[in-house]
Amino acid sequence: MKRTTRWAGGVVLALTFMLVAAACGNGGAAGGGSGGGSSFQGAPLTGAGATFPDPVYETWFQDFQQVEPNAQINYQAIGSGGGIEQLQSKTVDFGASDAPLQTDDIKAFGTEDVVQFPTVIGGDVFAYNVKGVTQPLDMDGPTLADIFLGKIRTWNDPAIAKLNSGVKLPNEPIQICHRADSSGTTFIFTSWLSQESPTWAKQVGADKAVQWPVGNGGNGNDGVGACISQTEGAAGYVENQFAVTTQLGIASVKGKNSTDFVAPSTAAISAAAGTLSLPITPTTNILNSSASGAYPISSATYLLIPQDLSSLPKDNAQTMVDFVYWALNDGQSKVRSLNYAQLPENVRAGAQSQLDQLKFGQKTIKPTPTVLHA
Amino acid sequence: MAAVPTTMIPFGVSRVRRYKDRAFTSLLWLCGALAMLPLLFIAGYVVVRGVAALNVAFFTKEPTAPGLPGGGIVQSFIGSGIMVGLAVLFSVPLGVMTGVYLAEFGGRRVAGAIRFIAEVLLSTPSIVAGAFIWAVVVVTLGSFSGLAGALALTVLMWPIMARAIEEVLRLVPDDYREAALALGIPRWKMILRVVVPTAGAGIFTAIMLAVARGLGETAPILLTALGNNFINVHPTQPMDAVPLRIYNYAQSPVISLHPLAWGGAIVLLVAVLGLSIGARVLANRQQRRIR
Amino acid sequence: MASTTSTTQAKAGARRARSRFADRAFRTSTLVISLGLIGLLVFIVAVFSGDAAKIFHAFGLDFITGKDWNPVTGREQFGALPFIVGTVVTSAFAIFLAVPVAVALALLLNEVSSGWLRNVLAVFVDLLAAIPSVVYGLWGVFILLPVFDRHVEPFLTHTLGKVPVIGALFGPNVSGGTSGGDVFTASVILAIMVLPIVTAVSREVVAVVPRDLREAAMALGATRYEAIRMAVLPYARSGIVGATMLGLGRALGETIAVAMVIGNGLGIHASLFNSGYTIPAVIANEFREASGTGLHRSALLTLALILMVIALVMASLSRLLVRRSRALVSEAPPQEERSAVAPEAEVSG
Repeated sequence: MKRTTRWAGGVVLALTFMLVAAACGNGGAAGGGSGGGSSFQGAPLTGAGATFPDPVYETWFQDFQQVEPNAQINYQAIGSGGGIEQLQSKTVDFGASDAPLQTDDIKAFGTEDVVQFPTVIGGDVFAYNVKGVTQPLDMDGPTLADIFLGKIRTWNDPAIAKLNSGVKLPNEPIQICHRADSSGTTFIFTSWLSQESPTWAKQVGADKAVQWPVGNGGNGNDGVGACISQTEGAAGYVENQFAVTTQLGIASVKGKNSTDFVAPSTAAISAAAGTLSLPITPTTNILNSSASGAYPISSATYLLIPQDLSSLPKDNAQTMVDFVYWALNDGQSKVRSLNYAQLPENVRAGAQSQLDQLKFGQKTIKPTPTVLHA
Repeated sequence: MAAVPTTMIPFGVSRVRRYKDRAFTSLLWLCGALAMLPLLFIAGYVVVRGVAALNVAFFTKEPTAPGLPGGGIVQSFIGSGIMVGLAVLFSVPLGVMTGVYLAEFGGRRVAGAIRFIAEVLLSTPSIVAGAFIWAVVVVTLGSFSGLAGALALTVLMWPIMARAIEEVLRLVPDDYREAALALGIPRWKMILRVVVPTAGAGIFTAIMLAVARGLGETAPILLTALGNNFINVHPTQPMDAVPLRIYNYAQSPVISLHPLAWGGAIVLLVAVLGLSIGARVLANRQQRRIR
Repeated sequence: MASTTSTTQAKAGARRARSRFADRAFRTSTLVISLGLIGLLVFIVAVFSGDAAKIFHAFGLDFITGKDWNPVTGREQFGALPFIVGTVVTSAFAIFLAVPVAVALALLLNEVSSGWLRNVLAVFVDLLAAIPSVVYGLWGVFILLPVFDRHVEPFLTHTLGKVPVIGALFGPNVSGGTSGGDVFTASVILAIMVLPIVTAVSREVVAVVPRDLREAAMALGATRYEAIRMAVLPYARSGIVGATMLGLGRALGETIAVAMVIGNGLGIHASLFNSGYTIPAVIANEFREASGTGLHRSALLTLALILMVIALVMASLSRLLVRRSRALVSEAPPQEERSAVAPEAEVSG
């Protein structure tokens, strides 16, 4: 071989060694294997699904690694529909969805039972990027439905002005951003719009993916957030935290059961959660809660875990149970700072008792002492 | 091809015709200048925005929780390296065997058909390769995996290698072959021990080009490897890749992720352009040597 | 003596037989692997065909002509027209932008420039093919899109938008304002991406036009422009069309860069400044969530099949045209020659 080729080959080999060293180095830091010491070290898991709770989940996965160092939970936020689909295809260990499993979803799972664990409560907000409008706009259901139907096309439309007297609304077109992927956030929002507007219910309906009359599609809550923040005059629906971190305008909403316009604060979202009850059914929702001060477009989000975890290695199944237990206990204290609401105590306790339904072989899996005493 | 020299515009050409000629030439030069711009702009912006993101943490750490500073995309580099490495491992033998057949053995019709199919596969959109491998590998294995990603890349890289290696083998002069045969060396040995090694640098060039292509692919990885926020060296588990990470971060409104996307882009660009230019330089040297 | 000779002969004979066997085995194994390439294509088509059959059975030709794409269970409706139109329009406009520049470059590099400038220019254009699609997308989203949205598109709407007939293409965005991605921006980026390959093939095609033709034109007193117009372009014409087909094939299949800047909107509008959607983009966006129980995933796989068929048709047409152009120009009969695709002129997707 010529000198150049040999030299180039040497470079390639050197790079390979560096990569392998980095991998081993990092892998070693996380622990060379489980069961080394007296405490359970955890095992890797793969999950996919909703973007709605992604900020909370990512924080949880990082923090949980302090408890079980080998628990590398790789979660890819591809949307609720994606999570359900991949779980059905058995290409991931668990799924996540803001929309409770519908009848066809459950049918598609066949004989596999899937247990739905509520984890946090969040809210869908109407976020916007309008020059000069710094205060929260007031919106109600029929107006929002008309906006997303394309009937209201400019910001200074009389319908919007009527709700916001005193706000200088520009004569700018409204550029709608919606989800391009199958989404629980969409399910929540369109379910609420269907409750608020018969026209919407008939023309578009409620589902994880609908035929939007107008607007551009973005991937995930992030994609919609990006779409809104990059376009002057744009608006769309995203989970609260995404609007907050992107510094978008957030509307106060009046649902059909609300006495006034409610901003999506953690208190308002918490107030709506009172009606949540287990078990989770296809019609479970906390929309338009009549509780005082409740934010009308609130929703729980769920982890979808197969009831029979025998297809996983034992350590992985144990990690799954440990993580859910931890999320329902220690994890709950972290969600407020991320602008989500904790589960109400009765729901939290109910979800925790659902852990008994998860089986390895025929036996229940008990959370390890590490997690019980963490 | 010899250029038509301007000095040869004949005497007596009418003004109109001369103006037309000059206008045309100016238009051509304008297009030339226009064509230089995209590369300059793209490379320029990527370098300017990406350099800021490059630090030690970028190359050695995994991503932090959303919103927290610091962190890096080390798992993407490792994942890309593993998947492209595996793809090379699969596609080089396949490409060499196919290239050898087309260059050394091919009869008109069979070889013609294979060449045609190779070109069709070459022009196949990469998303199709991703969908195909998803249906065949991901569903069967029950998991997204780096292996599936590598196989999707192999589907794209095999035809490239086959055609490029065929070209390179054809360039080896027949004298080499005839000399070997005259010495009594059996044909298969002649091909493997004389022709292929002579074309060695050319084959290396073909590998470099295929690697450059594989490193930049996003669509097939999207459907087969899922992505991973952690370092993973097991091909049977989901893996991350640099273009995939760029794709995800570019669509995020979280401002702190954008520099990471540009950082990934500059590394990718340097790698891919480096390989392309390197392949070109090697190819020129190889050609000069054989001549 | 005689026995040694016959043993040597026998050994030689055995050796020859062994190497003949080895030769045949080697040849067969290379053939088998090469046929595997054909097998791969057949396999791909087979995998998609099952789903395609399901879809066409359920929707018939409405799949191609229908405008409604509704994966909502209970209202399932899969009409792929918005994607087909989006794909065709973005690619057609990209080709419209790229081919004149590519032909100009081919002429520039072959007929006009020389020496180091020609090499630099050639390298600059060829390297465009190496840039990964996601980098094009990243650059497009953060650099090109804002500039187009705020300056270029309003400018075009005020100028070209007023021209009758073609003005409709440059009309204002349907929502009245700017868009988070549109067909025009996607087409421009696509044009840059296909420029290298159309240029590379056009260069080859122009280069094989024999000197005699040009010299004859010059001898007749033609200027350079006239020489090119009379002696070069007519002969290169079908080859250039072939190059266009190749570029078109590439443009049609480009996924990531387009998905990042096209806006992912399902409407079909006249103006290029609206958001659009292409077949590769919808497959990329919806594939991981498409339900296998309903028809959604089958619909996407059918789209993938359609894409493959188009790639096949484009590849064949371009091959035919480039070969015919060569045969026309050189008196020699067409032979198996290099692929029209220089191996490095690839665009990743």
